[in-house]
Amino acid sequence: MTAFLSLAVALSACMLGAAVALTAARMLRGPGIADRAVAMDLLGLLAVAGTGMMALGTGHVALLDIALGLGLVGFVGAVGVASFIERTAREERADG
Amino acid sequence: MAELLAALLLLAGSAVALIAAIGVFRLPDAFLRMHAATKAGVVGASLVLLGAALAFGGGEVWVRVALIVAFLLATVPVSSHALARAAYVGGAPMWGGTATDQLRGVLARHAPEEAPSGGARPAAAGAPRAAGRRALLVLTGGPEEAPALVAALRALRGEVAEATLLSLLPRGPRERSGPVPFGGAYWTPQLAEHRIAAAREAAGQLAATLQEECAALGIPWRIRHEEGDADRLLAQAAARHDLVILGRALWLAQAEATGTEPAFAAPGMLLALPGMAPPGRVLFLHEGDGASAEALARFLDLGLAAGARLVLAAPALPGAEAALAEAVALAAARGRAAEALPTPIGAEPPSSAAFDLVVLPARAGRARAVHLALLRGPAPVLLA
Repeated sequence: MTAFLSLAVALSACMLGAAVALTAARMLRGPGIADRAVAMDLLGLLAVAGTGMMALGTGHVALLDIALGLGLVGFVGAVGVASFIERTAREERADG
Repeated sequence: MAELLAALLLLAGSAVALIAAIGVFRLPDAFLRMHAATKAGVVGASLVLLGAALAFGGGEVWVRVALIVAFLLATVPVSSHALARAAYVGGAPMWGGTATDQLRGVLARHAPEEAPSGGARPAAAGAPRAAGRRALLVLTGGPEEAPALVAALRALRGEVAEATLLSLLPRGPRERSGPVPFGGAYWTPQLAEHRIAAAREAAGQLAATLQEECAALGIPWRIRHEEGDADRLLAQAAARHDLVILGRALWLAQAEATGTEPAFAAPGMLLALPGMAPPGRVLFLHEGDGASAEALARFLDLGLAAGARLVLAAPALPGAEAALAEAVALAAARGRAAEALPTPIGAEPPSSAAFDLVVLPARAGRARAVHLALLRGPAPVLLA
């Protein structure tokens, strides 16, 4: 690996780390469940990007399979949270 | 060469992902945050993965990366649509600057911040107006606002079907206080907390007084407490009510604090005064322009004080008499007896001393001086 590529990996790790910190801050702050769900969605995408970056940095191709799995889990998680929010809202409305 | 390109793609992807995170952190509501998270998030992750594929080379890696990117492109729009729909149905607040809501009336929207807490259950959202008027009482000023609000509730007895007591505590983002004296880093937040606690307690006392009043009058009530950008929160709450009742002293004080134009003047706002009587004689100021005609139509739609005697006054302006005649005809068409009170050129402008309620267009039009004088006159004011 050239020096340029390893520098790029280090820089990209810093940027992705900052992105994760900002997203986590939004997740902690909320204020609503929808905001947290959006932050969780983005965290999944950032995990995919981070795994790709790690695959590049370490040279392990197998990490790309993990990225695929993370993408799948993120999708299922987001849809699950969405249906939870919607069902809660509908039940509360039905209660009055 | 391939490694250089891979490094550039990696950096570009990380930068886009960082921009997505900044968007999620900084944008004002859940829907706008979603806009940043999904689009920029997918592009960022895809660019990073393409960079990895380019660096590794080889058909197997390319297939895998193409699979992941295709998968992200297929699933993220689906999950973000599901989330956006759930957020809308769940009543996630919208940014005050949102111009259009195309789902209004299409999807039922839950209002989670309104917790029913007393009396009869309020009518379901979207119930027809015939069910009665929903009033929002703004409890910002503390106990000294109580006489005006109680008087308004008593005066409108039978006209208000349900009341929401909203205590609003204006709070901006935490201010940077600059260099502080010795020990100030401890005392400054402490004092701020103390001030906020005192304001909460004042709002609570006022809310207790009004709860008792609502119970005595048989008006179902519920209570809400909000802290944040007061103008935005008030505008959001007002949109769900027909009538916004607040003390006139408080409103005028805020108008003076923010300049000559009141910070928030919307149709359906009642500026209450202590000693307010049930409206028997109502004065409507018609400024002889289109805005006044619309305000009159809104006031007639609201149907407040239907049994009262409606007097339509116009200031001494050219063309006012013709507009007045039209307005009287409009009121008659809605089944309201009204009489015109034109002011001849050079005469004194109409005074509100003999009236129980003054109805003004929400924004001063041609007759600004008369409008402002009536706003501060002896009678309570309804903005229409």
